[in-house]
Amino acid sequence: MAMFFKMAFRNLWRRRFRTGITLVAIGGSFSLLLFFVALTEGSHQLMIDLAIRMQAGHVVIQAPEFQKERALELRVTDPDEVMRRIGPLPEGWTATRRIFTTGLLRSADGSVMLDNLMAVDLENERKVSDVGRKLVRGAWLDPDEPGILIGEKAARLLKVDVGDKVVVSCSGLTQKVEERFLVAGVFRVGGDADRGMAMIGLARGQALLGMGDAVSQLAFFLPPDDSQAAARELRRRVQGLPVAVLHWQEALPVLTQLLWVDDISMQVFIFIILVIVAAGILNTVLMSVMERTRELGILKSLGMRPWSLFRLIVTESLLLGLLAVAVGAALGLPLVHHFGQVGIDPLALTGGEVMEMEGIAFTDRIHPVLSWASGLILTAVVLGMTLLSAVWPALRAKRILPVKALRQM
Amino acid sequence: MESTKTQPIVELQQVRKEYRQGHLQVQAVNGVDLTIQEGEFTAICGPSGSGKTTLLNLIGCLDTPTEGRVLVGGRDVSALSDSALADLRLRQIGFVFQAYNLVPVLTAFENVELVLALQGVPAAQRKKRVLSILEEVGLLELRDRRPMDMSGGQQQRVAVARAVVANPRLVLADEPTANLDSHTGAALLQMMADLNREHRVTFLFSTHDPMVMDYSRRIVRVVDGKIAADELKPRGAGDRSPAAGDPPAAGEA
Repeated sequence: MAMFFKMAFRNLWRRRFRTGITLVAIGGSFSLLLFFVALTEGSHQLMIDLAIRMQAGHVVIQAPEFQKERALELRVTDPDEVMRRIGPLPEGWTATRRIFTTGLLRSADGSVMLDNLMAVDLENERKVSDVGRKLVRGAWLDPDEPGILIGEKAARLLKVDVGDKVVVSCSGLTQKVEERFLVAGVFRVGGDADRGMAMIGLARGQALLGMGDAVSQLAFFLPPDDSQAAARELRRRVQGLPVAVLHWQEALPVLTQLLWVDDISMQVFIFIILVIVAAGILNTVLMSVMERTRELGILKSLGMRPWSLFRLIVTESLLLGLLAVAVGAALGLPLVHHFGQVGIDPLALTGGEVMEMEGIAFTDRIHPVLSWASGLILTAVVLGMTLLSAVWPALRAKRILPVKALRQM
Repeated sequence: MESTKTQPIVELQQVRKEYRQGHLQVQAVNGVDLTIQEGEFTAICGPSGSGKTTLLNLIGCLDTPTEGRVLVGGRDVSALSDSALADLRLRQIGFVFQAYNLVPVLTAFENVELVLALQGVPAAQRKKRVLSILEEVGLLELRDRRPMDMSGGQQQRVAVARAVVANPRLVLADEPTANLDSHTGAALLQMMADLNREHRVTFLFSTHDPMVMDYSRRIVRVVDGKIAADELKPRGAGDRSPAAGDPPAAGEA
């Protein structure tokens, strides 16, 4: 009813200053919420992306027990058969084979423990790994050279650089092994990985470790939205083979848990902000109902039904909420867009401390990103909260007795 | 010429109304019997605190009696729900208040339109009806003004237009001239008398303004919550035609 909205809308502007303050408060809170949700989403995407590229894939196939104990003997013995069963990969997918082990890296000047020595499929790993992007010196591995990529800290400790010789000692499948490599590149990915991680070619790794064709893991990279469905499909195709198919959430349980905890704390933060917003709206609407007791009584005496008065007050709040959401979006979305473009230095958020998890340091700039779903859910929640906080004042309006209201001046 | 045969629009039967004021039990209305016929132009008068406003509130279904029956249009209103009372007020009764009580955020046009909108009258019909009634009360030019931009007399004319726009059977006016100067008050009363005569709208006033009594055909005097006198005059000051608004038989009080 047009008349109804007209009244509700004009009523909002009777106290311009008060409505303005409420609008700024709710709109400001909403823009803050948009930004923090976008920041959380952006940082989660970054964490997932980094962790997946360095440690897993969107979906991984490995020996069933490998998830519990990353031992060399827990391996996929016939990766070619696995790939044959899977068949041609869909457009946009990449599969890479990896061996994970530990060892010792030595030079003439010292040694460092390698807690993550990876032998990788050079062609495909290069497409997905972060290491290739973060080489500070040298180049990606050449299949014809006995090259190794090491971290910046390791290089410093061993006093070696690109072209220098280093020795890798580790336990192979059946015996202790040792081999000389040439430093092909030095990377800086941040955190402990710069000391304890190194990468060699898959063929060389398989020969060194006595693995034959076996690998620790087949990692699949694909458009992230499809990953759950893809995991199910891969599981179906490799049925009967002695392998486990894991979605990244299963393969990276610590990350999954961390994201979960982070989501919960975000929700608590949202809840607190919303309670403050609700209190603001409640105050504004309740005040406006109490001030207008007489006028609402008149409307009732003219024949406006009690529930229509209820609806009038709720409509006023809804309009207030919609305007506030518009103000909030006008403030928040450009902020999200701006920082989405330029990114935010994670060190600025943690006070200079590098956040690290499962050996992965998060040093990349975080680009806040707001999904449609989150934006719409937040909008719905703020509007829902607005409506909810109008219920009590609206009930008061509904219960106004005209004869009492008319006596008020 | 319309038939002058009348029927009761309001009947009060042994109505009592008590309310508490602090520790005191106040008898505002004490055993009143009153019948108002359709088409009357009647004033309930009496000193402050005599119970005339309470009586008007009871007739207007804004309040319920402690005892006795109130019948509006033949219907006992004491058993009706809040919503049913609201509907009754919307469709049968128009109100004019002492303090005008227009909705401040609506223009003159919209204030009058509101009642029709609440009744669910289509917009085109509303517009036609509102413009016609605003013309009748001489406010067509001011239709887009909000109450704060109008004088007291103009506001009260809008209030009268609002009260009669939906053709109610009964218009209740509580001290309608109290806030107006005598000239404006007289013009307003004349306007209501014309509406009474031309549209046979029943007007019931609560007042202690002699001018209102002067215009009224029937005067019900209330003292201490009881009807002290019920007088009928041959014609009111506003009557321009001897045949219109013929006085009905007086109430039983």
